[in-house]
Amino acid sequence: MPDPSPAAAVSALLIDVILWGTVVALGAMAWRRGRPVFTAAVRGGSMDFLNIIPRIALGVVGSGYIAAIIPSEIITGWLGPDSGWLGVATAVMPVPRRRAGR
Amino acid sequence: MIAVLVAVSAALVWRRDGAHGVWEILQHDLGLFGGILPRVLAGCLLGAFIAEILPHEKVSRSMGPESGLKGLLIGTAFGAILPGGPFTAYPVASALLTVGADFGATIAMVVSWTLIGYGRAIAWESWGRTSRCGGW
Repeated sequence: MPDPSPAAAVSALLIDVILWGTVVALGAMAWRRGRPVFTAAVRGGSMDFLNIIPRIALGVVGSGYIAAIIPSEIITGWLGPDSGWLGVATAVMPVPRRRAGR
Repeated sequence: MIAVLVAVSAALVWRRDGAHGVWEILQHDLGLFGGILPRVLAGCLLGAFIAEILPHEKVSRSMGPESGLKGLLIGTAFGAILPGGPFTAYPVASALLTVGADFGATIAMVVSWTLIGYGRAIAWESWGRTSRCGGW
């Protein structure tokens, strides 16, 4: 993966600032409605965060190993620019998954 | 099942590239994971705050099952201005469903965030242009 350019780094920073600014603004609105509302929201968000972290960790860290063992010719052949409708069909192919816990 | 797949893949990388290969991928992915974490936290908090402070009756009226085209348009507009990546958009979508939004309006929000979200426009214009799609 190429290093992001300075412009990309600035745009990522800008998006992060807007994102956290939104979180702070909504947090302030929740705080104005009372401490119990704010506390319940922070607790709920934190629990969601803790519940989802193991799955994301497995996906992010695991995807590196899975990508490393799949030959690039297979990806190019199935999903590359010349794959045509087969590539589209492969991309939308349903994958069975376990139902999420929530 | 995913964990088994990852373990098998890591073992195959170990056989092919040795411990160095496994460690290199792990380092890279842990860096990526560390970069994602604050955004995941922001997304979860955003979803939780929205679920707490948005009035259920108003959301049901403007984005609920009876909202029709208005609900779809509101969902579309909301998705277009929603900052962040999927770790932000999906908790917010979940929060909207919790406070009474209709599936259609929520899907409109997610699709709009995917297709016309300003965050993506900025990211693709600055990053895509300079590093990948030099010609467009």
